[in-house]
Amino acid sequence: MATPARFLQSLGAIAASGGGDTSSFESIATYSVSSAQSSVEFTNIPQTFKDIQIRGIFKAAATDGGTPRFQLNGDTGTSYSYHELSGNGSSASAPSAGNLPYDAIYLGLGAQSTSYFTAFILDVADYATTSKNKVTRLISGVDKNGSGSVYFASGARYSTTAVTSIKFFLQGGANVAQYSHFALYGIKG
Amino acid sequence: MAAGPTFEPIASVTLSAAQSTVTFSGIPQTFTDLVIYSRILPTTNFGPNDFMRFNGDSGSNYSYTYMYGSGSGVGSGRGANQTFALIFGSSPSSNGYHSITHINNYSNTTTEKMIIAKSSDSENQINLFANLWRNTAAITSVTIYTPGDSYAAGSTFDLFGIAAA
Repeated sequence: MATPARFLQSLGAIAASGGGDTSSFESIATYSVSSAQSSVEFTNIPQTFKDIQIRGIFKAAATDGGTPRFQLNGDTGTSYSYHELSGNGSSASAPSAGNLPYDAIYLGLGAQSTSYFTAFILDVADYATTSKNKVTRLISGVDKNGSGSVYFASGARYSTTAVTSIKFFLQGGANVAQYSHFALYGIKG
Repeated sequence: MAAGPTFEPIASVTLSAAQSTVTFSGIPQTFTDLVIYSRILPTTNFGPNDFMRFNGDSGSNYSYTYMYGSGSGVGSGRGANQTFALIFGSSPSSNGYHSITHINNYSNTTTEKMIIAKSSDSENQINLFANLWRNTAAITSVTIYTPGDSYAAGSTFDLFGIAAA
């Protein structure tokens, strides 16, 4: 199931295994990075929930690790845009960008810290619909005892395709660091 | 897939009288994340700021970065080498405020802890904080306190655990 370069979780098997969890907020899959790797991806996301949420901690394995990003359904086309409200400890700003090949998490300022994990919570509402473009909401932050940043961000992928996979990676090409942790949850409607 | 409830209440406190400190101790280590909901009613002379500590640590092992919106402007700030994590940073209105604090991966013993808190007082300010606790220990207790003043009776504090597969 796992490949040397990236982790692929077959969520179809998990969904088929039953479970017995009758709550509305249900754990789908979890992945802890045991050694640095290029990306983390949840695939075959069950289409049986209303919304999904990914929670975790994340940092780069190299000093100049680039900026954290995510893609949906393996889409590397210029299908994404975002708006953010962020604070860097000195001032707040509200940048945006469009026609990107990824959605912006901006889990840290510029080069991702190799010492401090960014905590994040990413929501994809109505992920399984096939009649709407997809929107995401993120809160995240990292503090480094003298530097750091916090983010509110909203992203969009201009495709009505249901979300079946989500991939996290670093734009600069660094690996995702050991002990980074990603947990995918489904929210029932 | 986790068996049983995934977003599970662990403990809840509703104040019957004013007090300045609330502590959740003996936190089970069986979850992945913790979430704390606070609905604070201030006493008459409630001062600014609402703090949090972990495992009783009162050393200068905390730091934070935040941003806020006040209705008239936005801004950002930080504090280094602090003796507390910050979850609300303004004098609240008489209606009080609420905060939601996320502690992802609280039970791991390999990483320092990053805590995200968002708080809001509809008549005053909204905030988003990233707090760092420079300790790799698993979090077994959380203390919420306000220095020099008290939370009024009726204030509520709810601790939840989020399990993972």
